[in-house]
Amino acid sequence: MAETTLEAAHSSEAHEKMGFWRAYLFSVDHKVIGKQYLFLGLFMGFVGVFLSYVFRWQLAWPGSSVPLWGKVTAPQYYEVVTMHGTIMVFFVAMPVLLGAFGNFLIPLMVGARDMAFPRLNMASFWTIFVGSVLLLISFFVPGGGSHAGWTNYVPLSDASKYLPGNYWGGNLWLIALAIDFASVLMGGINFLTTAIAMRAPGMTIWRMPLLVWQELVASVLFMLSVGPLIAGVVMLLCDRMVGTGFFLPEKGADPLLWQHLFWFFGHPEVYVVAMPGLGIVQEILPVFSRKPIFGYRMIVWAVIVAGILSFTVWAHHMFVSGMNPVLAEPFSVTTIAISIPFAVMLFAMIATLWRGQITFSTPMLFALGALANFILGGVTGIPLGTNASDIYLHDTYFVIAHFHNTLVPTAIIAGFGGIYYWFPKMFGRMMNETLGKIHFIFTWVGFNMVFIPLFLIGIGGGQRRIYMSSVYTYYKPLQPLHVIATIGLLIIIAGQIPFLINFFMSMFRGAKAPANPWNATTLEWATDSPPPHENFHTIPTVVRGPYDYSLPGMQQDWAPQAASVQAGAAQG
Amino acid sequence: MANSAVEIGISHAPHEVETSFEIGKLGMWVFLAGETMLFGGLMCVFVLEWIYHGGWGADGAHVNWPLGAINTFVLFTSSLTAALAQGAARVHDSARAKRYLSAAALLGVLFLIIKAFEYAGDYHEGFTPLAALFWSFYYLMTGLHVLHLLGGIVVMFGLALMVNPRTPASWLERKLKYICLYWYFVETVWILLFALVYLAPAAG
Amino acid sequence: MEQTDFSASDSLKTWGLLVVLLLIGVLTVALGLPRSLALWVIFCVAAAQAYVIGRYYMRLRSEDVLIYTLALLPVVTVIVLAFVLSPDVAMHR
Repeated sequence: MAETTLEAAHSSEAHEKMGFWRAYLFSVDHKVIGKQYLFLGLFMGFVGVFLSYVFRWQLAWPGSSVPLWGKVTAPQYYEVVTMHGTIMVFFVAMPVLLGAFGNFLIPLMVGARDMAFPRLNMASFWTIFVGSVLLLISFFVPGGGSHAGWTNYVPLSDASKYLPGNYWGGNLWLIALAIDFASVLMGGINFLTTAIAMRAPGMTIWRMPLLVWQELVASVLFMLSVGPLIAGVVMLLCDRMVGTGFFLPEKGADPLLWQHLFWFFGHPEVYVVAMPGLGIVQEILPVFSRKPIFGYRMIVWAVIVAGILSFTVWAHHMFVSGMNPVLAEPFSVTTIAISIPFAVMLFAMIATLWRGQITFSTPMLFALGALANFILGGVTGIPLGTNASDIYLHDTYFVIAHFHNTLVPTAIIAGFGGIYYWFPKMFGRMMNETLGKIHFIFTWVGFNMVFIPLFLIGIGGGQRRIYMSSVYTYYKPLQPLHVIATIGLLIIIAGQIPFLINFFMSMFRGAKAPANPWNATTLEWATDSPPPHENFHTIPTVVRGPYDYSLPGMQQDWAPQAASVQAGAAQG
Repeated sequence: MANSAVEIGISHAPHEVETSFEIGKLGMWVFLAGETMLFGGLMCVFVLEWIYHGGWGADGAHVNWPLGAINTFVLFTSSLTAALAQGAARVHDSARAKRYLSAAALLGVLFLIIKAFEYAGDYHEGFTPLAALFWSFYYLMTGLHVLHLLGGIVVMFGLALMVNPRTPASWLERKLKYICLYWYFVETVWILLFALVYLAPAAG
Repeated sequence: MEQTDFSASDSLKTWGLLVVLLLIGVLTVALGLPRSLALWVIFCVAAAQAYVIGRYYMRLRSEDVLIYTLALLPVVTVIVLAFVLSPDVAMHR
């Protein structure tokens, strides 16, 4: 067979002969591409955090001069909140959870040598890179980055007469988003094809690690939901740049159409972020409890059901938009219903911990913190998902606190957990545990210090997207909560310093990592750290499921998925 | 061959995978599923707006459906040559497959030329994208389709150029299968567009 | 693997079928049929043409269940989208 010359063509020696550009910049190796996504995501994450620092300072001390920025004007305020949301969701959460972890881990976890379409994989990274650059450029065009909110509602975002001075910022926002969507679609093609067609012998779909399942369902959700929004983005770009009236009321169009198209995608999108994040937690919990994941198949079905239901709930973002009220009840019902599969998953994760032999390593701390806050985020979604209570809570800080307690635990907290957990595999070195724990404390405590006050502000009626709260007398009693929240953010930011030091120093000077520092069962731990170019010296044969820890009758408390691997030793 | 060097992981030997599945075909279908959502979303919005406005009325009456019908015929013939190319590749006649493939691409170019005339004619009569909501949709949807067709034409010509007497027939058969799948998809989109944007508005 | 029984004449027959359907659709407009009848014919013709391409050219019928699902799921999703949007977009006040 012509293609199985791959062993010869891609042995490590052939790889070493590649120059710097092919090996590190324009590599088709999924492990390199995954790391490229990680670095890009981390960089954009720091941009996003800086933006939140600017507006949180303004919120705590309205009218004051923000260090490293100056006084925040009203257009600037809306610019930073818009770009913060846009960057965090589309240029941090997705590149890190899908691009970095998905790309790096899926082939390893299913026992393949690479993704199905390596060149497409490389193209997907450079595509999102271009999108990121365009979005960053928009900060510097006349008028600055988009001010229209990360949801970019029309008619505000539709025509210059509604939002003057934001022409190029708004256009670049739309173009960057379309490019980002194309990148994730490309990635999805690879994820699905690889997991379906390139699993190692014995790796039935019911033996795949949960992270792979989550990435797959996320990819399907994205693929099925983004098309109508891309259509909407193109329509909006035409409105802005050509002068059509797809969304303009004065030309007979329905402005709510944009909201429908946006949220039809937007709701599955938040699960596209949440699912891989939960998957990371589901990988970490069994390892550091030395117990199998509770209810593996139940979790898989819950993920699939949640995915299907995610297409039926979107109008809960639009209860007060003026849409046809007849839609309110059905969407409330579906939204409550979707909490069920998530509850199943969360109970299963808690049950995994029950009576386990728990080690509070840094990855475990982040996984536990993510789980705890995701539960808080989930239950606070209920009053938002029922139309009656949402009438009060919509567009208040309660919403912001809810979605940060779902998105941040999955994208950021679990993301950090994943970085600490898979760093040895990615870079062949161990990170420092002490610095890791400091990072965790500052990040997690700081995070709650930001968002618990925000729940209270929301209940107190504090509306979001208010630039200068000091002009509203009703806001005065809520102001101290904003100050507490901003201090929490400063604590988070301070906590990233030990992380950065740890991350970069360990990459070059950390202790050399063994193949399997955590005594974990999944396939990526059955090969060297870092894996050779072709991932496995010989493709493993899988003989058991992914979470065989402490089963009755075992000699040791774990059994690797692959056959003929000596516990703790590298394969090959 | 330049491609196989980079085809890392394209397929394992049968003993190296749990499920054997043709990767290129699966990947192409995943891609087409996403594309269906894009065009489907646009068409869905178009139909809903049509219902709301009670038909496109006078705005839609001037769409050039005869030229659209000729273009539909051109596309049908193009997909015929594509199918014939696949047939030739299946019996390992690479030279004939290459000829049919080029014919399919050339017919695609003919489609584009006729479309250009059509756009020019519409513009000349004042039916610009800003003339009415119908025309905005018309240009957007057919324009997006044109871009997809262009992409397909480029790939077809590229594939045809790569075919030489030393090309393995099974490789050509596979690659043809994927690009022809795409081509049939673009054709199906056109069929729906022709009904929605040409015939239906012209029928009143 | 692939069916080897889709010959050149089968391709030609498919092409012929598509062209005939095209003529039917065009005739409804050329002959100025009443609007509702014309619309029914036009969309049935389009559906038939899409079916013909899907079944004979794309070989959907002989494909794996997975491919079938990949092809049909987006169509179903779009229909669901249209259905839910209609109270708002098609009938908005």
